[in-house]
Amino acid sequence: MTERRSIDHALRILLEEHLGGAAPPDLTERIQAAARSGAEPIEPRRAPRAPARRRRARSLVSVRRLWWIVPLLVVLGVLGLLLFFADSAPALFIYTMF
Amino acid sequence: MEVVSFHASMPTDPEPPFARLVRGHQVAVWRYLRFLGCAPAEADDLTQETFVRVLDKSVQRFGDDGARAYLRRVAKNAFLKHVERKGRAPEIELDAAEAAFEWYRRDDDGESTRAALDACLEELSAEARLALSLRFAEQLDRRSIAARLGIGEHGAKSLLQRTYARLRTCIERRLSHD
Repeated sequence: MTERRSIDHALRILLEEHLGGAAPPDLTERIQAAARSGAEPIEPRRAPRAPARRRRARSLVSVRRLWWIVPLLVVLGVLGLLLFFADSAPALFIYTMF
Repeated sequence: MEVVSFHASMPTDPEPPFARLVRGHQVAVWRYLRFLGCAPAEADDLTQETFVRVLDKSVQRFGDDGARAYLRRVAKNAFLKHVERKGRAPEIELDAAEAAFEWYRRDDDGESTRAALDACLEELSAEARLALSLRFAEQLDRRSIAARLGIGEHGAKSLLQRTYARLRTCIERRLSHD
């Protein structure tokens, strides 16, 4: 059973199309012209606000909603730190931490 | 299985595979993008981008259903990239949007859902139809709708909510009878 929120969303889209004139246009010519000219994605890329890797990692959580990936990254980060400090002075204290 | 490059066949073939692909799937891709939360103009752009991205892929070897699913996947990624570039969260969760699209699409690309909506709109009262028309055709807000109908703002709100609920029930009833 599709939940009510999804049906309401579908209904809104359909009513916009049906009553509001937001019907699918015929894009055949436009797409073929873009294909012939070897068009790149339409929006020009703006200078990124943050380094691309960090932005992408953030978008995994905020846009794609992959919350389960957060503890995985935290554990990997902690293990990475342990390995990094394995041969250094703080290594003496790692045993006492556990 | 025959694998045809769109680029190679475009200039000479009178009905190139790419043109056939665009003709056959553009409306479904456009609607899918609308369900994901695109405004009509955004859906135009991203539909174009989706097809440009598959230009060199022999999508039709997947068959009609496979091509449809593949194009949806490409469109979804194009949409997510677009949203990331804009730096805004989607207006509806992707899972809910996809559930809405599946509910709409059913087995016949949404034909039965659209027919049910047409029939259910006919069943509504004149006042409810006018309220919907003011909301979606004239894109008025709740206050303006209330003023045009000569009722209070709360009255307009509950009229619209009752109308949506009636439409939802009516469409579900008709679809379950099919």
